[in-house]
Amino acid sequence: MQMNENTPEKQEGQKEEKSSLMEKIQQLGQTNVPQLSQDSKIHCLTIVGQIEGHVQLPPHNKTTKYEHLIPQLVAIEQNPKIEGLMVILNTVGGDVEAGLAISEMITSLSKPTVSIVLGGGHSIGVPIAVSCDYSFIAESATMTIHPIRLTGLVIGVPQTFEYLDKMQERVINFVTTHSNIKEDVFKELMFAKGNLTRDIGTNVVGADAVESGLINEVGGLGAAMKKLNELIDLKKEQDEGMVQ
Amino acid sequence: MILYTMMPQELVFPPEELEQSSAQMMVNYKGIPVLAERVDDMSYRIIRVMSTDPSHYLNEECIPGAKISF
Repeated sequence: MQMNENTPEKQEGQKEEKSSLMEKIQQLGQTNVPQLSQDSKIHCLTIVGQIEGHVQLPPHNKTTKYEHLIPQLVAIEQNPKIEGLMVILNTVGGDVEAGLAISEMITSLSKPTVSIVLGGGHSIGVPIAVSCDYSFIAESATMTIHPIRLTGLVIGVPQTFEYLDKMQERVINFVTTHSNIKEDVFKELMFAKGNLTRDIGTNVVGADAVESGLINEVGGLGAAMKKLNELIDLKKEQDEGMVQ
Repeated sequence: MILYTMMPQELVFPPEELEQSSAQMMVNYKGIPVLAERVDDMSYRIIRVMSTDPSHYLNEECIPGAKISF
């Protein structure tokens, strides 16, 4: 961008032309050129803390904001140099609308995506984890599956219940269509009693998440990166096949 | 807004409001998007690197805690 800004200066005196040329050489030599070779073909999206949507949370919360993620996802989709996306999750959940928006965007990305759950991928982190082409969970990582509710409030009117049920249905639908888990198994986990102290639901750890069909494989960063490279190669082959 | 989180309500929204508005903002430092906090008129302290490009995280000038100035 800075190069374009400099071009009109060319028409002015020779001295200025020289200095702007020097600037260009310096800029190219110092910043542009090394960056080109460093460009990574795999980008990484880290989703940590609370997923923040329409309402800004108090500042002591660590948040991932959807206004940051959404443009990044658009940039990843339209940049031809980026060939794959790695999504790293360590989240406690957050806004339903924002979480589902991010999940839908990752699912509709035309580039190979691999997610990896480290530490925790709770609540609304579950749809995000399954939104990728392939998902990994670290052996020690957990995912809490529980119903959507208004914490600490008594549901006053039947409409409130209907509304919450509908919101919950959106999450269940997304998870069941984008992973191998059956709807009744997921609901069973969601409404299980005796697992969580303050809520109904289940805390699924590493291998359990794979067993229930929610996540594809137990593994760490190395395995996830290997899988992503495989998917990228596969996509390249398919693209070449289509041209011929 | 519906929060779907395993964090209890009172942890997300503490009962007493002891918050001071922090002057955090998104800035672009040498092409790297960072979340920064204003230290004084001229300089900012980096809170978090917001890029998706892994190579940006290896830039030593641009790590969380580093002071940058414009």
